[in-house]
Amino acid sequence: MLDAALQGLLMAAEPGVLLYVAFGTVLGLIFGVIPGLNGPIALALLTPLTYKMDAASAMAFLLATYGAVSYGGSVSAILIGVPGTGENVATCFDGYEMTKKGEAGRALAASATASGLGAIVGVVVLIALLPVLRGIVLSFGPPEVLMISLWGLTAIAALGGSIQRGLISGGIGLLLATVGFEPVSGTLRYALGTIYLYDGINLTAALIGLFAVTESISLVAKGGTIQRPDIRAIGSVLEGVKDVFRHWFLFVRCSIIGLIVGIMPGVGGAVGNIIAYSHALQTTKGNYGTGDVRGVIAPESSVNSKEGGDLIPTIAFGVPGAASMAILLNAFYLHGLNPGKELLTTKLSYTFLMAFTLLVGNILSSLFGLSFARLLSKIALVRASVLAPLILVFSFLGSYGVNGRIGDVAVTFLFGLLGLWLKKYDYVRAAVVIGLVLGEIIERSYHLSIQTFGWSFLLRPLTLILLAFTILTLLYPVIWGKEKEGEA
Amino acid sequence: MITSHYKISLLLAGLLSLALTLLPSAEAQEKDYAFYKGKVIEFVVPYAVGGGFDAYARGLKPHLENYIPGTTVVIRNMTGGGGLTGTNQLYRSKGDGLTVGIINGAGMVLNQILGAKEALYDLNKMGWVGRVYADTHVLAVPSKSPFRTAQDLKNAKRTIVMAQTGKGSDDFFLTYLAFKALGIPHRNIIGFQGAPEAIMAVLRGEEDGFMDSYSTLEKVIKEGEMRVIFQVSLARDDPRIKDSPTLLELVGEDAGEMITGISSVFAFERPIAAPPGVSPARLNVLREALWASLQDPGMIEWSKKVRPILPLRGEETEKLLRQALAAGNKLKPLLEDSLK
Repeated sequence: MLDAALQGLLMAAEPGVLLYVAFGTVLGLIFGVIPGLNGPIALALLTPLTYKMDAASAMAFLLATYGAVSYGGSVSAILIGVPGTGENVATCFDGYEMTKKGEAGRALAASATASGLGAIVGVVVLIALLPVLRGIVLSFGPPEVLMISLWGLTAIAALGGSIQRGLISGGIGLLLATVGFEPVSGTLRYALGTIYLYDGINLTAALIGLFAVTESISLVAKGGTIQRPDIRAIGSVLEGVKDVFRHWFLFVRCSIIGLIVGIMPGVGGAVGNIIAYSHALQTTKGNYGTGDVRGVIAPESSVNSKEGGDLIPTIAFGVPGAASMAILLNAFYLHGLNPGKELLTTKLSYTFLMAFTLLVGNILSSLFGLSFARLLSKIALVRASVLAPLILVFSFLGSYGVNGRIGDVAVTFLFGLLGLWLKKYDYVRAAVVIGLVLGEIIERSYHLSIQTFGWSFLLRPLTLILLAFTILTLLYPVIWGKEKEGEA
Repeated sequence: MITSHYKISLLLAGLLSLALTLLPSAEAQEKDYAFYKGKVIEFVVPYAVGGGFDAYARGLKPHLENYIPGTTVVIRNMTGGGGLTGTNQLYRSKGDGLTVGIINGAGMVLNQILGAKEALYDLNKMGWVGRVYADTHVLAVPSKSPFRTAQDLKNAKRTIVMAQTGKGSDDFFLTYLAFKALGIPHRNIIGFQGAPEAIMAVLRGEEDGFMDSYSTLEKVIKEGEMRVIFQVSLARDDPRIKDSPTLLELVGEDAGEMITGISSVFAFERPIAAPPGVSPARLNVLREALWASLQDPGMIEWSKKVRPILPLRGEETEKLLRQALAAGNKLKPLLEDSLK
């Protein structure tokens, strides 16, 4: 094992390979920043570039890109309130508020540090678990997915000013999630007679509307700049780095949440960061939703540790753990690698290579982020009359460009209006998003659990533990009055 | 004189008949390569970037550009409605020979037969460029499963439980028809997001098995996690699964017609189509280019590493469609039954 680790390290340390890691990182950041472009798209478009590369370089290049996309996404989430990818949805809840308060630099630094360190946690745990991977993957079934999603859903009650508004907003999200084919019977719901709605509301298009469109319109209405005009600071980058260490326990918990979500079957990228955010919200006292740095640290620590988790089913069974993984697998076949058990035996060194590149790539993108944080955060000082039209143009282009469907543009537009309405009447957009993201997965895993186990699924040990977590989370503020978090 | 006259007329008649026999085929073989110079061909993929359909499109792109000189192939992923959006869109595109698409043949045949109101196309009217691949479908169970043969499944003391992605999906119909042919009662667990999730559920022991194309299952089978119980085919043609009995062997000739029907529908997989109205001269260019691309050493190399290919010419693909539609129509009552 040590031998393989050393070999993997040597492969990763090859100058050519390192160069590809750097190249991939830069490309990944660009893909991440642009709303609508995400990890799977980046991988699919870049795979042809690897045709002429050797296996190690290709693997390193693609993994580094993959890792950097989510950090790129957090940059736009923080600076302009537009989650660049589904994996950064929760980051904009507090990140953008920090920018408004003149703490963009701090938020960017916190995000870079949390996601870079999160990758380390993911990779270290992945390597530590190598001998027992199979058992772990097999212990997560639909009941566990259901429980962890419900756990994430409890956050809607705690978001925003009042419980009622949070619940109503979350309910709107859950209702919107029911549009399209019902997962079991295939019955159509609320499709309004258009094929476009068969697959439900496109999450990316909805997010762009709810955040980018809403925010640019309110920005124009308000005038001035994103950042409050009375504040000229951008927050200390160093402070942002320190924030992560200050809240190290939260960081570790959220990294582990990311990892578990990554291992779980059929759970999309948007889910992990929302559950992590929700966990932070429920267990620590803070001003979430108004620019609390922990609202950035929590989701960002889960984003990259999730990648370690995604690799686990791939390595243990050769079954992709996520959409991006399916594309990565294709690229690996192309280079004569056959991901699966051989990654645990004869090709163990490649597993380490993968782990090390993810690590190097993430650290690189964090360093990029840290060094450019100061410069990037100047965006918040650009006049609304200049910035808002630009954001709007890119929003609609992004929304249309991904699938080339005019329906996506309509969704973006309508969700922009919905966002404005929610904002005006103090409802909570974050809760709507949580409902929208978790609704489908909750429904699907509930039906699968009942079909497979009947109600006795509730008696599965892991399900019980997660259920206990959920109940504790709900009771925690009542019993302990939210004061014993020891982190603020 | 007479003889020479006779010879000449004979010669003329011969030439004429030769010309007559050659003429239609010469017309059919006419290829309007000139038209394509400097043009953009849109390649519609009704599924997301990164999936199997998308992989074929991206694998073919450079070769198509090579064999139709002067063109650029642009891949357009038009997702939605389980492939319906893209197929409808392809059908409604201009029939100028500048739009082609790879479609889920079996799924779209089933939609057309069942009269799905969302299916706004008529496969009969489309132009068929060729087929990229058709897979053999199998039933796979975990290696640790007590069931080793179809007979074991039949003798089981309890109902067999099968994993499925969704009601009305390809794997749903496939499972229904195969188990119906075998006369084995089964229960479905429906709602997995995709084949990987369904496979993981079977590996966790939540279901007894999963039916899908062999390529989808090949990886876990080669890893020794699952094994094949039977293949849905008429003969053991697929070299990868020579040892697995065919459904026909298991059921016997009585159900031969039904199994022929099932395999005809599922043999119409991954065809490349053009919208209605493409002139023969342009369709021929597309057909030639696809055929040449699929024989290209580069493509064959690609297919060994990424996705298997099993090329079929456009004309043959069209024949296959007729067979699939005819077979599907015979299965219609059964298919409708399965949805109840």
